[in-house]
Amino acid sequence: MDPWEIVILRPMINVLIVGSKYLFNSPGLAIIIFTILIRLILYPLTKKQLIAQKKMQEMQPKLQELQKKYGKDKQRMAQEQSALLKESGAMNLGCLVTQFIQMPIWIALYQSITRILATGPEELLNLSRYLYPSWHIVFPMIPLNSYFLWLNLGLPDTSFIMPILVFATMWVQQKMVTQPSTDPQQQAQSQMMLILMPAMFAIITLSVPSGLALYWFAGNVITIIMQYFVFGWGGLSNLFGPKPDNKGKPSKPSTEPKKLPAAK
Amino acid sequence: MNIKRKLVLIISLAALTGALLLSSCSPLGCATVISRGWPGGTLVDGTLFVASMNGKLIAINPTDNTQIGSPAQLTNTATSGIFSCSTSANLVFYATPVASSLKTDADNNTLNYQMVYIGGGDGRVYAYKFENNTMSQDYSFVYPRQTTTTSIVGNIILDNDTIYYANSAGYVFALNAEDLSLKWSQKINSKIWSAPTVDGNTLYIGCFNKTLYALNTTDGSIKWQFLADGAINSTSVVDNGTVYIGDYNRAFYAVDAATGALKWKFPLDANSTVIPKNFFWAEPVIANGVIYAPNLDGHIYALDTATGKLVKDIQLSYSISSSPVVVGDKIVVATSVASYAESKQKVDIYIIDTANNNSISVPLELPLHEAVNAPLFAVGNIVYLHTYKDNLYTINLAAPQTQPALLFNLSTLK
Repeated sequence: MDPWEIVILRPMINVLIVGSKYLFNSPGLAIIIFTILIRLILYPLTKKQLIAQKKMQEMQPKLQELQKKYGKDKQRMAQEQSALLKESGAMNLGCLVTQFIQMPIWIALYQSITRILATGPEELLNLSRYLYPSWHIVFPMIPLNSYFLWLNLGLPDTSFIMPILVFATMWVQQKMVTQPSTDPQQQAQSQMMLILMPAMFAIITLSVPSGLALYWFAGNVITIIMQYFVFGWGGLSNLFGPKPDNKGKPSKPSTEPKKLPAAK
Repeated sequence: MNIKRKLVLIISLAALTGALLLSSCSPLGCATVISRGWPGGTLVDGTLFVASMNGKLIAINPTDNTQIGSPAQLTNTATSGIFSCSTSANLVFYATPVASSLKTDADNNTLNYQMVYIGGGDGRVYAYKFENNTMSQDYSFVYPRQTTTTSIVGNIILDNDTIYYANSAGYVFALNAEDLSLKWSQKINSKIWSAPTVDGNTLYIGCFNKTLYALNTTDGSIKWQFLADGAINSTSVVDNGTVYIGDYNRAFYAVDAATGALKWKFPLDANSTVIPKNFFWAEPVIANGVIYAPNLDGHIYALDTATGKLVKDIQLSYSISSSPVVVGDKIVVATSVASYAESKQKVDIYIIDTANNNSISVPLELPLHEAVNAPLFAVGNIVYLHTYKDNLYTINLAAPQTQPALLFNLSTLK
């Protein structure tokens, strides 16, 4: 076994199996709870990242102004942009680091889920080498009960419910952090991305084990909640446009963007 | 529309289309493990029948280890994805082929043909005619006729003109060997990956619901059930009125073949001095009154068949996922580094001398990075190993220090 398997993957797999035991023999519940726990543990890092992301979006009009002002002088424009981002706290090397730290955990969780949901003979044989011999509780659990609600976690969800849920939650998650742009070209691009990414994940969901789709869905839901606590409903508050006032004139959007602390 | 917008639109549409095609027409898996199967081999009336990991059914002459005729190629047509695209791929075999003896006519004259049967990863049993040293290119019979979403992981058994097998959907079947027509089926309500064992008029089979079943071979009715501590994947061995079986909870049992009552269990409990560290996966073997139970932890637990007392804990180098073979007083065992990363694969082969205090030989090594999951099989003093890379090796027990010889790569045979 390589260090990655010993240090990260193996503990995660065994904890997921034991979690299934204590969560009504349900690996589905274990996947949800484990995803939530990991997101909560990483919340301080995620929060910084979200704040920086939001700041960056808020800077967009100013960045566009700089582009107009110094469009021909590339060097000056880069200097001004850098100064602006530094001043606002949107450009923060720490955010990149936090993202980098989180990545192995997501990869390990992804790999753990695919391994514990072993459906084929070779996959189950492969799973056997990750089990801790001293954890007597894990052996009678194998193979895990793969049924959760309407899903067979080891197989793709052919009912289309999970792909729809993945699409919807991913769309909401992205919509919350997408700021309307004054530039029509940029607005069109962001609108396209808003649909494209969730659509791609929804399509992939049709082909991968639904346990993995459950992990994506649970992750999206917890991210939506975190985003709400960091900066409210964001782009979702403008979803239906400004509400008309009593005189039939459109009123200003009801939610002002929250004053965000600078990302450190 | 300016060029940038057009470009973004084109790239986006291309990505979306690519994802659509990828997910609808191919198994977009997440696990890195590839299903290749692990068929062994069978010797019947002087011909050795083996199956490759790319769907070939092959006949070999064991006297000079040459290929007989051309192999039959089996393919599996399946639909997948949201557009139900039809794909055809070579069939995967986990089951070892079985064959009938040479057929005779009504006057008892020997006819020069045999029927060869194999259970596929597509959940179907195929019957091929092997006549005048030629394997027919098309199957003569298949059961069921329609495609299935199940698979056959355990071996199929040919006993008294009846084929017995189980599928992963939890059904046990009995088919007429003559034309593969259904005699009976029994639904067990649990995934089954082990092979049935037939002794007299009783069929024994272990299931993932932790239960060992004894079925009546005449109609499939359940005679008795024995509840183990873990899921059962290993095939049972029946000897002298006792059924021996191991489970995923690292326990090995001796059960009364007539009543299903427990005779003994190893280890007795969690406080025992020797506790296996992994699943009992491969089929055990019996030699000289001792049952040798291979475990994925790299040990073979030699147990007294009468009492279950540990005769010897035989520690070998790596995991044992392929069933050992008994040749006279010797047991040949292949151990593999349990990794699907090719560069880490390694196989050591041991010869256990049961007549000499279960002493083990200096391991023989395969020359390539390999793994062995398929059951070992032997013809006389020659032991055959079918590896994960579809190589067939031979070991000559008459010259035990000779390194394994590569016979064929079965995938490449034509």
